[in-house]
Amino acid sequence: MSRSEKRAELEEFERAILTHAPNLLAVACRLARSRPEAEDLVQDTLVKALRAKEQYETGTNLKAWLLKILKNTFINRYRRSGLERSVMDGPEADPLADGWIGAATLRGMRDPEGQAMRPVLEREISAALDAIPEEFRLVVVLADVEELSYREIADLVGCPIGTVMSRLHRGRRLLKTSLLEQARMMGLVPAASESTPDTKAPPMPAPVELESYRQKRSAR
Amino acid sequence: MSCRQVAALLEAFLDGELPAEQTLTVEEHLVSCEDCLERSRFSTALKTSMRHAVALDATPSAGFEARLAGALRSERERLLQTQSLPPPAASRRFRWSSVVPLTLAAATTFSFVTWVNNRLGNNGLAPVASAEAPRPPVTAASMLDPEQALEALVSYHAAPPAPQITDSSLVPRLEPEAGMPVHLPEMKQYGASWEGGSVIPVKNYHAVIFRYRLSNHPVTVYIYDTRQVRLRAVLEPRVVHNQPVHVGDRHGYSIAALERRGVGCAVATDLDDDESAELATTIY
Repeated sequence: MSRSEKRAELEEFERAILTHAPNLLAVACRLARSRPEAEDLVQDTLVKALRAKEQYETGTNLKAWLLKILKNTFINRYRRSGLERSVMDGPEADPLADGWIGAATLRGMRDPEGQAMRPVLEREISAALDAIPEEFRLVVVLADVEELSYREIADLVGCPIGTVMSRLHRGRRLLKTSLLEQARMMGLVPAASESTPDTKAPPMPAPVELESYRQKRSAR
Repeated sequence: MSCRQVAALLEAFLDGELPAEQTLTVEEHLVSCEDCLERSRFSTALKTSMRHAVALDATPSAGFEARLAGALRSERERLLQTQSLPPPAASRRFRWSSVVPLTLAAATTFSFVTWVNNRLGNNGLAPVASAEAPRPPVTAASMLDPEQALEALVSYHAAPPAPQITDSSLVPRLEPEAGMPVHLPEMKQYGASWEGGSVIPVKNYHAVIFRYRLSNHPVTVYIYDTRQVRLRAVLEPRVVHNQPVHVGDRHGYSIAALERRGVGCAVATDLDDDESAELATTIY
C-alpha cells in the first residue's frame, strides 16, 4: 500500500472517530473531576484509538469500542485500582428499602406538558448523577445516554450482564431517590410516604390470551 | 402478574432487553394499569432529562474540536513516518453479496404471499397477487445476524414485493401482526409519495416495510423489532438533529437507522448517506 493510500485510510478513520467526540466528552465529564481533565481524556482516547486502528473490528459498534478505550485510559491514569467501589456493590446494603415510589408521586415529578422531568428537577440531575457511586454512574450513563445494549456495557465494563443489570437498577434507584428528596424539599410532591398501589389496586384480571390481545390491538 | 412483579421487569422492558414473551406480558399489564404506565412514563422522562443534563454539561470548550483534530493529525503523521502499517483486514462488506440477497428476496416473496392469503379472512384486506407456494423454510441462521438483516433490507429495497396495502387507512391493521407500534411515516415535506406497505416475515416474527417515491428515487422504510435485529450494530453512528442515527452503505444503497424503545426504523435509498440520515430522523 502506498503512503498516500495509508494516509487516506487513516484520515477516513480519524473522521469516523471524531464524530464520536461529543459522546466521549459526555461520558468523560461524568468520570473526570474537571472539565480540562475530561477533555484531555477524550484527546488521549482518540489518539490511542488511531494508533490501535487495526484492532477495531469493522462492523462492530465503533462508539462502544472508543468508550472502552476511554474507560481503560481513565482507570490507568487516574485510578490504578479500578473504578471507585461502593459499599453497596455486593449484597444488597439495605434490603428493606426497595425504592418503591407511588405513581402519584412520580406523576408530580414529571413535566405534565412534556416528555421529560419538571425543569426544576432536571436542573438537579447533574449533581444527583455525580453523587452516585462511579461504577453505577458509568453503567447508567452508558445505557440511558449512550444507549448501549447490556451486552455492549458488559463487554466495556468487563463484568457479567447480570452485574450490569443490578448496577443499572441500583444506580437508577439512587438517582430517583435523590430526585424524590429534592422534589419533596421543593414541595412538588407531598412529604408523607404513600401506601403502595398494590393494596389499593383492583385485583389483576386473568392473563389475556394472545389471540384476544391481538384482537384488542387491531380493534384500536 | 402484580405491579411489583411488572416493576421488576420494567427496566429491561424499557431498555428493549426483555425477551419477547415477557415483553408481551408487560405490555398487556400496561394497557390495563395506569400506575405502572405512569412508572414507565416516569422512567422515560428521567432518561430524557438525563440526556439533556449530560449534554448540557458536555458543551465543548472553544477550540476543543480543533485541538482534537490537531492531535490526531500529528499522530497520523507520526504513524506514517515510523511504521509500515499492516494491510487492512479484508472488507466484510460483500460477504453475503452473491447468495443471500437473491435467495432471501425469493423466499420472503413467497412466504409473504402465503401470509397474505392466510390473513385475508381476518383483516378484510384487498387481495393481492396469489400464488400457491408452500412457505419455504427460513434457516435458523438466516435473519438474526444484523449484517444479513441489512442485506435482506437492501434486497427488499432493490426488488420490492407487491404491496399488501396501498390505502393508508389500513396501516393500523398491520400492527397486531407486526407486534409493535406502526405509524405511517409522513414524508410529504420532501415531496415523497407513499406507494404501499407490507408485513414481511423475518424468521419467526414480522417486520413492516413501507415504500415511497421521492421524485425519481424509491425509498424503503423498514420498521423492525430491535430485540430481533440490531442494525445499528453494523452501521456507523452519527448525530443528526440531536438524534443518534446509524448509517452505512451496502451494494451502492445507503441505509440509515434509528432505534428507540425497542422499535427500529431504517431507510434504504439510492441517495447519499447524509440524505438518508436526514430522512431517518424526520420520519421516526
